Amino acid sequence: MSANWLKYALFFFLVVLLQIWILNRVHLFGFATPLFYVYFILKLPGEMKRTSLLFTACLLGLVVDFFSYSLGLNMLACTIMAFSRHYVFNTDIADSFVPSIETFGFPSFMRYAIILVVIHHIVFFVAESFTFLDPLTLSLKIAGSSILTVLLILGTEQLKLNFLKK
Amino acid sequence: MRTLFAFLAKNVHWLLFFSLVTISIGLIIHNNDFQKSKYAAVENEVAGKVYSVSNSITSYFGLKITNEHLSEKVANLENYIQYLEGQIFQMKDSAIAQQIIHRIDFDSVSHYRYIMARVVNNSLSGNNYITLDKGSDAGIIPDMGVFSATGVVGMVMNVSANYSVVLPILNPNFHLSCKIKGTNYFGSLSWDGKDITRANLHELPSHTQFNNGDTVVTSGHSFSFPEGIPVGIVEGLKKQKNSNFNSLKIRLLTDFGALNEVMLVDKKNRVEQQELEKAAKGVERRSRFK
Repeated sequence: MSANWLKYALFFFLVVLLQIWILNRVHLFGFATPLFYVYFILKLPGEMKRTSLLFTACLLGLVVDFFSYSLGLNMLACTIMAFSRHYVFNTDIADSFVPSIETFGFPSFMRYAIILVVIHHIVFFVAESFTFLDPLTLSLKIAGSSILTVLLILGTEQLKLNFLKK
Repeated sequence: MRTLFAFLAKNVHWLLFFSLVTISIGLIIHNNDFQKSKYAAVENEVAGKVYSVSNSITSYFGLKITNEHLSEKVANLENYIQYLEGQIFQMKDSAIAQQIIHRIDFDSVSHYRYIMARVVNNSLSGNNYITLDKGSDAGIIPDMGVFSATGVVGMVMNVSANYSVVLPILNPNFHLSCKIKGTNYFGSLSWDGKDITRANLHELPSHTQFNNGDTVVTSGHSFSFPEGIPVGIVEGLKKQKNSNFNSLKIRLLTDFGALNEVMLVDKKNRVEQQELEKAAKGVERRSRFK
């Protein structure tokens, strides 16, 4: 149990550093910025209590916000994403599991990742663009960033799977 | 009663969810106030430290471009010095000019002080901020102007001991009084959140003469910038909403994607002047009520 806890703590710092040091500076075609750190929320154990899941996700968002000078933005998006996670699971999975391509199968995992990432990105960019209010740019940002984030997540998952098989 | 507690215990995640959402929305709304508060200095210091770790590696990537810009600027300054020296040489024989040159106290002539700093973090998405590696210990204070070798970058918003956070042009909260070089008509520069190489100049009187390709420079009306620091190039007219004012599309001269070295500028005795003006306004208000 404690080894697992440590693993998640390390994972937490890794995704935060990756996000603030590298990915926050990516600005593909002028509108797509991957928010890859939400991968952490996707990978939290499925049997985790909903309250602790909400707290963990909210903390993750707050830490990323702290470094982006945008208090509340990522926090709001992560909280809503974590709350919806429970409703996206397929119900016929055994109690103890970590969401991955291996436990879900590729199509189910992809569906799971896409739905949650899109929810997160919609909340994030809508909240961010309060001052802009330009629907076209907003939808471009949501679509572009979602595609980039999902691709990164699926790529990482697949790499991890190949690595474990060897 | 018991059923109520059981109901609450069963749905405690709903309660938690709504309180977390409320807290985060509150934080979003008050973020701008927070950035001006003293707590932001703590955030500033911690975030600055974390970013300076990554910057010690990434700053090497932009060195070539930075060097090119700097040497270009040095070349321009050299030209200017030669031109001025030529002028002084021509005036050398006139006795009056001699007297003037002797009387100039060069320290008091320059009303501005300058500080060099390095960018340790820079984002390019929505509400952007830039972190610099120097703070109040190096003499940086809020509202100082920031510019690069090519053009205006932004304004200092927040300082801690060793780091400062800049509100760049690429932030919807940024506004700067600018004019078209060679004219005396002013407009307000702001960013619309779309393109990191373009900004808009609003509220320019509609009778202002301009050509595409004209340079937009700082007006010198704000305390932060001296007059004439380049900002961008006029690219054309934007759609009009009001017939008395024009909005121009500006191509920014600063490449925000490759920022490295920046210069901070401040009017000497600015704080003193602002306090005096504030005090004068207070006196005026008080005397009006008598």
